[in-house]
Amino acid sequence: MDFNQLISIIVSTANFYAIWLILSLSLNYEYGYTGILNFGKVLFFSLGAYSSGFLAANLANIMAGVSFDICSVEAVQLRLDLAKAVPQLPLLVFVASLIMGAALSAAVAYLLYISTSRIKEGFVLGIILLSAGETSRIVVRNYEPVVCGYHGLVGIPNPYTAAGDPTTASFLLSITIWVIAGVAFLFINKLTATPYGRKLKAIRDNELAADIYGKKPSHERRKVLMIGSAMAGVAGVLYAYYLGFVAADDFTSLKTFDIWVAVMLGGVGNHLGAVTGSLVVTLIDRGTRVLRVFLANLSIPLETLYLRWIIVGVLMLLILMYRPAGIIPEKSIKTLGLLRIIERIKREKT
Amino acid sequence: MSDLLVVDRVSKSFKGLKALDEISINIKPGHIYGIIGPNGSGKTTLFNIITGVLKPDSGQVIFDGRRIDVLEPNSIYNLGITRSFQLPTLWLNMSVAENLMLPPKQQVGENLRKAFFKKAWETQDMQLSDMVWQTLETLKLKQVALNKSSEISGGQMKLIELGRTMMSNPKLVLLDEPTAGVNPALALEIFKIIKEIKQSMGLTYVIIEHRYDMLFANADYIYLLNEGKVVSEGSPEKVINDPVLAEVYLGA
Repeated sequence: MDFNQLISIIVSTANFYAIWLILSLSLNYEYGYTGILNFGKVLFFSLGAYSSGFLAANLANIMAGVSFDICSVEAVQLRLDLAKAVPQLPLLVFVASLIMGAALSAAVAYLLYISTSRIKEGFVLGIILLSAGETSRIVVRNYEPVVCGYHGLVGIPNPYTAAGDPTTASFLLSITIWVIAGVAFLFINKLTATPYGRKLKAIRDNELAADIYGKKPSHERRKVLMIGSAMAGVAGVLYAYYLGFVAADDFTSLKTFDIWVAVMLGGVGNHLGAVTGSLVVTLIDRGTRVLRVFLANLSIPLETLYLRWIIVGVLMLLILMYRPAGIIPEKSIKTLGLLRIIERIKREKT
Repeated sequence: MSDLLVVDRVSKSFKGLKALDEISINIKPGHIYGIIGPNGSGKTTLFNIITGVLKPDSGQVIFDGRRIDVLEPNSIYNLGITRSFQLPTLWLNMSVAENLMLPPKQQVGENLRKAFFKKAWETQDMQLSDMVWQTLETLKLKQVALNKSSEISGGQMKLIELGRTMMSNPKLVLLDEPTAGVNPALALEIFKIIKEIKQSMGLTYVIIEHRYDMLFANADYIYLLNEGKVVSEGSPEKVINDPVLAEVYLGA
């Protein structure tokens, strides 16, 4: 393995990690803090990706004043040519996709939430989200105008085409992905290390008591699901732009459960847990792929992709047996008020 | 003085079982009311109706001149009614201190948008911690303040139930068996605390209690419930001497 290969493996792992991280943080916000059983995370992730593909393809057609089938070879060529001719355009479309992905995900989250909000049991929402995710995947897979159905949509141009050199452009995109993941981490931390986070945890721990003590469980859950879904939508846009390709079959419910595994492994109700858990899941996912190429080079006929499921399963069992609260267990939200109480107790003990 | 709370001919049944049968009670401000009655007489259902957990089949509940039986529990709380539960319903994965920090109303930092601005809520959170400290002191819970509320004893859980009502700055407090599972010395202490708060802050209490000795010694007015109806009411002396009391409990 030469140096360049190693660099590209590291960069791609970091990109996948950053995208996974945004998803895990959003699920931890929804489930870890608020107790929403979001079994449909992949739906909102996919909506972001579909938005990117749909916008990139249709805007190219509109700009060029043609009506190509967005899946045709001409359309793909048009997108790439247009990006070269107007190098600033892909960046604008990228930003528009981020906005559209986030808004669409939040809107769908809102609709799905209010459809079940009269039913108190949280698992009903969970099942609705799960089936909505699968349904939308199957519809998009068979309905070509969204992202070319079964074959997927190719030729989403790199947003930094203006940089000229493709290596620089993809490096800039990677940095953008990392920065957005970092911002997501700071955002969610700043938001929840507060009385607001405390209120969400109360809703999670006992909805009735939260309601009796003046919090509005349903209202808050709806907002949390919308914000979390918008985050997942952003992750989906980044994913589509990073791969330059969108296909519905990439968004099976297995992806949702990968994110659940990341959150459970890392530690529920703790953002550092999501950071750790998603790192573990990404490393297993990418590691087994690299191993497969490595073994193939040595002519060892071993399919390592299945190894991934075994490792994840064993890890999950071990965690549940020995560290049920996850690698980094939940801690109290240390607002200034709580810190003051801790300090007073320490002082009394000495 | 006008009534703080009026329960007006409220009925509630569960699949044919009549839990409340056209019950009416009036609560005047600044007193301690006791509600007694055998198991299944509708005491807790009454609390659930007043706090909006259940909606009445018929009748209405008026608090402070406002009809509340159509409101959600959180709106009723914000109008000034707080309650404790018979079986502790704490936020179990959170510390005792956090359980007490949650009830106060109008916490700026609980607002999604304002949470981002630490300056907007930090002072309030600090002031809150003083209140929590006082409550912990009163209830002698300092040694467990940082423990998860799932790790403490049943009696201590009941104390946090009471502590949360103390933290919520209400007009009316409904206590569902505040001394169940609490040792006698502490039970006496609880009633002492309730009396003190009532006097210092002019609160009104409605207490469901099976320890009649303590309740009768502290309450100003007693409602005796049986099968969802008020069968006797008045001063503790009056209810104690009412032959209905023995009839209800002994089935004589």
